[in-house]
Amino acid sequence: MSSTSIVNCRYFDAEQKEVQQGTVQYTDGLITHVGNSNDQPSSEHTIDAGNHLLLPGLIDCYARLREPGFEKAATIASETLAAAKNGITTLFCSPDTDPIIDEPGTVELIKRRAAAAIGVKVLPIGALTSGLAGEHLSEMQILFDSGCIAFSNGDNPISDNQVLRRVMEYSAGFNLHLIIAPQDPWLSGGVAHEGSVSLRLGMPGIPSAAETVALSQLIELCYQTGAKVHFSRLSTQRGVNLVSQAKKDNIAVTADVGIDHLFLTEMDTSDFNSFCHASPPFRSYQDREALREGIASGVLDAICSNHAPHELDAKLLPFAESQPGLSSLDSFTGLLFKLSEETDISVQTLIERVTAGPARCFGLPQGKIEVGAPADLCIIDAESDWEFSPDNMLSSGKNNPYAGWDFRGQVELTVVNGKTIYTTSS
Amino acid sequence: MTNTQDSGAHLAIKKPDTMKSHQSDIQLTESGEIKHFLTIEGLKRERLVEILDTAESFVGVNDKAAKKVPLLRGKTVANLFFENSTRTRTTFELAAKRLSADVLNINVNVSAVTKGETLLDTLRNLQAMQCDMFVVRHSSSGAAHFIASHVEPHIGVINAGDGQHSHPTQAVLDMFAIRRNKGDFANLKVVIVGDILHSRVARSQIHALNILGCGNITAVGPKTLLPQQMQELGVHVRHDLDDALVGADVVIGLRLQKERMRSALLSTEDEYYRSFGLTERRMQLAKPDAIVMHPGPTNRGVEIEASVADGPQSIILEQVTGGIAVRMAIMSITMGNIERSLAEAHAKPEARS
Repeated sequence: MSSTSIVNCRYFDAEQKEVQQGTVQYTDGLITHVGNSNDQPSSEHTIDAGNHLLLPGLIDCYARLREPGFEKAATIASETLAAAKNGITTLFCSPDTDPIIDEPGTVELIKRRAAAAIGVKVLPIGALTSGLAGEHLSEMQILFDSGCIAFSNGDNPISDNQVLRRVMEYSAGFNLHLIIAPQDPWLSGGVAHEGSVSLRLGMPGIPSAAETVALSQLIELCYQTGAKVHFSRLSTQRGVNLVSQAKKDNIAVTADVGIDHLFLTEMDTSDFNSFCHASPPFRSYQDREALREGIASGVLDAICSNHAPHELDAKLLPFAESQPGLSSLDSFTGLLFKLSEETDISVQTLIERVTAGPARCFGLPQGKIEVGAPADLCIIDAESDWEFSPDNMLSSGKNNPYAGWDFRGQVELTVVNGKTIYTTSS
Repeated sequence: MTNTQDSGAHLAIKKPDTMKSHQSDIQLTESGEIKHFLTIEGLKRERLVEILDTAESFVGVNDKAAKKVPLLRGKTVANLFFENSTRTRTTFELAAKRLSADVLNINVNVSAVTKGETLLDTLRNLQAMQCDMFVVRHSSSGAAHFIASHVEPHIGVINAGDGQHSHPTQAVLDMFAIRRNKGDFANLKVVIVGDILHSRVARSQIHALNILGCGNITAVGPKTLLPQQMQELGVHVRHDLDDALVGADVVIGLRLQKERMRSALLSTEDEYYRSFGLTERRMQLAKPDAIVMHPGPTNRGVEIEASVADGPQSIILEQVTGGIAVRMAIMSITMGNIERSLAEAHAKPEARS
């Protein structure tokens, strides 16, 4: 029995009320006491949080780690380091590796690599169709038993609606979670949001309808099949509206948005900056405001990183020829706290969307500070100002556009299952 | 809560979050003069007029028996064509040679790229060969910007067409032809007809006409090739050519790519010609002294009737001739500005830190 107390911390309790001068104790990987400092239990180790915020470890429900297969771009070790520095203790990794996560051997390999790395909980997302080809069902039940948290076709939309219906029916029978980025394959052939900027720059556009057409079909199929679908990485105002309506209709859907889509818009592509070439594309200001509104209201349950590390050569190309995606883990928490500065969304709400929110979507026990929950925690100095620099990134992918941005809020300590995996104090 | 119109209302933005790394305007020197010629958009009127006036002075050179001036003597111009072109490459080559430069023609399609060399590698190799200017054509929008942002400071980049984005030298030579035939732009009605959506020429023309103060710019085409939002470029969007042509002083046809039929943007060539072809009958709706222009090469019987392309109102060949003088002007102005800004930077090194 080894117990640790984090004393002198602020945290949000189950009713989202802020507790001052709190103490949280954990023993053998589980939280064993939550309360104020007056009734402090005895512990072998004590960590003084200096009245900074103690949060549940963050949960990132969509990131690309590139391993196995694309280790030149990134590895599980490098990317989980960046995650730990940002307070992320649970991370879902996408199935679009090589080999693809469509058989248990690959799941096993990822689990071993993650265990040998810094200690972030890496939960593989299994392929929804074999080889992500959109034709045959993957062995979802076997993959689930081997450790897959959910199933997705990654960035490859399934174009055959009959196949889509079947995977949804099949997964519903086993009560499995699906993660689907709504994207009509025929409408999404462009490289930038179809709007005033793409028309001005002559870049092939992806209309908002690429998302909403797919989303409308998916919602109808959810209604028909009862599948548990989490819509991943929404980008449009009308997409948020469709999810809102589906929830009102009691269809079992949840949704997230990538952190960068809460900041960047089509305007950021107006100088052909390939670092802002993303999938889905950064859309209009109005879309971004609707996404922020969706986070505020809870129509969007979660914020994910949509992390996509690339070798620089993949970005040192004219915009349309560069690979889409941003290396987002290193700026994740900085942007999250920036959102609380730039909008009226409360810190509590934002934290919920990266902890209890995603935990609820996928039935995870973590994501809350409660007796009996896993001791996945992080301490953040929410008042610490810092300037983002690509030189300080831990991710192998340096394709990040925020060089020079002022951020507030730095993670000081990250704990997974009671074990400190990252700390700024020596 | 997620209602559409006023959703942003209570999420007040406290400060603008523009990107700090954003480069201001990579085609200008610190003192605001053109060093790369990448796009018409954002250029000041006097810069365009300077180019047109300089081109006018080169017209005389081109009419002489010995057609050379020594402005780029000792300089090496590399024509980097990642996309096929005969006319544009040839006029750039002629322009460079008439300025006494050495010219390298590099058809990148069939050389480096097929061997797996990246665009940046190709550029670095040419820099190592001490080229002074790159004339670039590429199928990707923004390619010229990309190249300009990665070359050494003594090298000038001229965009000879990038994807569907910009073809600024073509637009300037079109303005040159219009000015020579019509004089002032203020009272002109200019009609651009065709595939505006995919046309880098049309985008550059629209910017140039706006900067030069053209009174009425009207774009005409089927809705699939001319989205309503194009009006944000500063152009009237119309879908009926007969209506649009009434009172036109300048009529510009655009080349129609055959692949537009295959990608379900158009039905047939025949229907396109009926709806948007520049025919003799239609040209009677324009002003009697209207001129007809086309960036070439023309698809006769698809976007333009042969008798219009060859007729008295057509200045299509005059555009080509003027193109050499215009490109001479752009090359000599940009090279001069680069040399001047490097000399100034050299003269006061403390000012750079």
